[in-house]
Amino acid sequence: MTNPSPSLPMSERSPLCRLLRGGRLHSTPSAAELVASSELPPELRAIVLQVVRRTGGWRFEQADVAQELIAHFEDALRQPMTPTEAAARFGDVATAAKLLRRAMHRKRGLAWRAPSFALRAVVIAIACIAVAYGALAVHFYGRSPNIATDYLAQIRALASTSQPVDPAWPRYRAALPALRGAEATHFRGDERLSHLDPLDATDAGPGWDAAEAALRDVDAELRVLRSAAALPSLGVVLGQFDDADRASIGTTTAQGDGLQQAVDWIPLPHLGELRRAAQWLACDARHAAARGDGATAAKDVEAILGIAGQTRGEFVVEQLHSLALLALGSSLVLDILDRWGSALDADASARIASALDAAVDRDLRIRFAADRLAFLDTQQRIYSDDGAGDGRLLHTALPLAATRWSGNASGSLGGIEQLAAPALAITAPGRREAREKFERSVDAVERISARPVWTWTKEDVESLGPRTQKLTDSGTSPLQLVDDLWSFQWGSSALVVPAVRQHLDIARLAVAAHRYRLGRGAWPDGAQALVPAYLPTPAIDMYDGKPLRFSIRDGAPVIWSIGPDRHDDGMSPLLDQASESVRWVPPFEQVDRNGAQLPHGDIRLWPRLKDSAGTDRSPDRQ
Amino acid sequence: MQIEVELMRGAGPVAVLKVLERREMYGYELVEALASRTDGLLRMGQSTLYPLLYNLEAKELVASRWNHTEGRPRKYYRITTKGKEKLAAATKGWRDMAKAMEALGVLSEALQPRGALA
Repeated sequence: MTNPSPSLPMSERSPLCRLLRGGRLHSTPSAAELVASSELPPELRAIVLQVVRRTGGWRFEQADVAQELIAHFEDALRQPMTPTEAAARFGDVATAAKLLRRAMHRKRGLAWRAPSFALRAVVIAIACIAVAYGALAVHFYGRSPNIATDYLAQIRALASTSQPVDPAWPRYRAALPALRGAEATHFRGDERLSHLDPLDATDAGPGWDAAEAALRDVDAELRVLRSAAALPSLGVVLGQFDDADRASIGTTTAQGDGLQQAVDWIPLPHLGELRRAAQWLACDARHAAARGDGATAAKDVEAILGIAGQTRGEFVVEQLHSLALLALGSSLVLDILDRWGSALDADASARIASALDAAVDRDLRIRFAADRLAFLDTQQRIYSDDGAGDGRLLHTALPLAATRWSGNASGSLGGIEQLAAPALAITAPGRREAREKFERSVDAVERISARPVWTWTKEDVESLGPRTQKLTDSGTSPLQLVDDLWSFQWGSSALVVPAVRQHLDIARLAVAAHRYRLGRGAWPDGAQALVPAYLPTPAIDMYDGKPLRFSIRDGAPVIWSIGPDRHDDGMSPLLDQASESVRWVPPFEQVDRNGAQLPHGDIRLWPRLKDSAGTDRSPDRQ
Repeated sequence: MQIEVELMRGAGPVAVLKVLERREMYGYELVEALASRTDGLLRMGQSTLYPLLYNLEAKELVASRWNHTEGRPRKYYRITTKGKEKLAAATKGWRDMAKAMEALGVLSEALQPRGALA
């Protein structure tokens, strides 16, 4: 018989090894050939063939086993022993084949066994991960949050004022539906969200006529708005909107449950509607000024600034709304002075000046008192509680996440998202870590916001950033469980304060100069001539804390600032306010909000010679 | 009486190594040697002997060679150095086991003539 090359170790006898050694792949007889050439009786041949075939080994492995079994049975037959006895003593064919197959695999080289080991390792790893994930899912879906503190009551206590005798909100509530009705009647549906909003129209722009027609329809409501704005307090209690309130703001959506309240913070839907009401007043002021009715325009300005004072609350979102209304009011004043300054007589100018002075005396700083409590309330509703201030995110965050991420009002996520949620939740910051990051973030904003902007360092500005650091960097998954809940933009909120303060001071200074001219028949030589008779306190340049620069050029006044480079260039160059650089940017900023490089130089703040589209204005100031 | 399967599973490799300690043997010879030297107690199922030898070879406890000088090829197995070390260790283990069993009276009772304990 042929030697199936037994002297080589098994690893060196693989088919590939044989081929590489220059031999033929099938250089040895097969098991079948060996059996056929043996002298074994048929039943023993059958046993040998069954065993070797069932091993599923390589060709030479089968030949090796066949050769050995042939020798085994030949020895048995020479005992002597009958073929039946030999077969019986050999035992079970299937068992032999199974054990031989395992033994063959063990004898093969590591390279052959590595994939098998790897596969086994992967299976074990998957099993371990599945078990661990199961435990994770049980924790995520099985535990309930411990809602132990009534933070809503604490937030209400922050306001701590008793309900006013004559709150302004019911009056606004009565007027708001008519304003929406007028918009539906006179404006196209998409105009409100476009830059062609008729409420923003000027006498040279589209929508002016539509706005005028609408204003005629809501004259009574505008009077209601003015009367409401003169009241000291809004009188809205957080989280206590009734059906009439909801109807007034055009929604039928019921107030969310505790969790929804906690994160939507806290239902303040009236803010948007009051801001829209202020835009109506601004529109009315422009139309009145264009008609020469400065008194009505002044009342509208007073009302806008009054609403700004009423809406300022303990939440940052309220403060930002209030600041936006102050910016609207001050911009409106400058707009009227630019276009229809002659409409503002001494009385109207004095009323506006008084309202602006009152506004600038308010505390405009950003405070997070209510937001801190709101954050803690949210945490107690979506985190577990280990009793020591820490915990992991729970399934109760999911409805919230669905609402926030996809606008899915039903508050449900897809199956895959729910399956993945426990894993993603474990990557989210823990309760303590999230709280500490939140507190560090808002502490920094409050600390910086409390100081005059001209004392800010470059590091202060950079620490605020376009928006403060996210809690996590988990990409764009819809299941960024914490990231999207608290993606703080409050750093930029601190930048709003000096911007609005600057707007107010520009308006105060411009109105003071206008009043000076009305009273004395000529422009003042400088800003110092206005204080205190026309300007109780100097208007401040937010870039250096000094009085805003005021000069007479070509017989007309110019209010200018040293600009974000914080260097007084003596009006040379004097950048036009209508350029990209006119928007108030933080000190040290090198680029504007669009990423364009900011030119160095002083900035003309008033008069605004061009509108936002770059069109020349016709200043009514000569 | 043959050794139970579980006991044989542990004893089989040691027994094979012990038989091969004297000289190299081919498969059938090994089967017969095991049976005759143990009065048939370790008459190993032949279908399990060859996988056992393959496993011992994979562990390098035995080595094999084909011998063609006897007229027909036979595969001879011999114990390796590593196999001898393993056998020595296993022998000590079995001795310790035997001592333990002796201490427990398992062996002494088992060696009593049938009926002596009655």
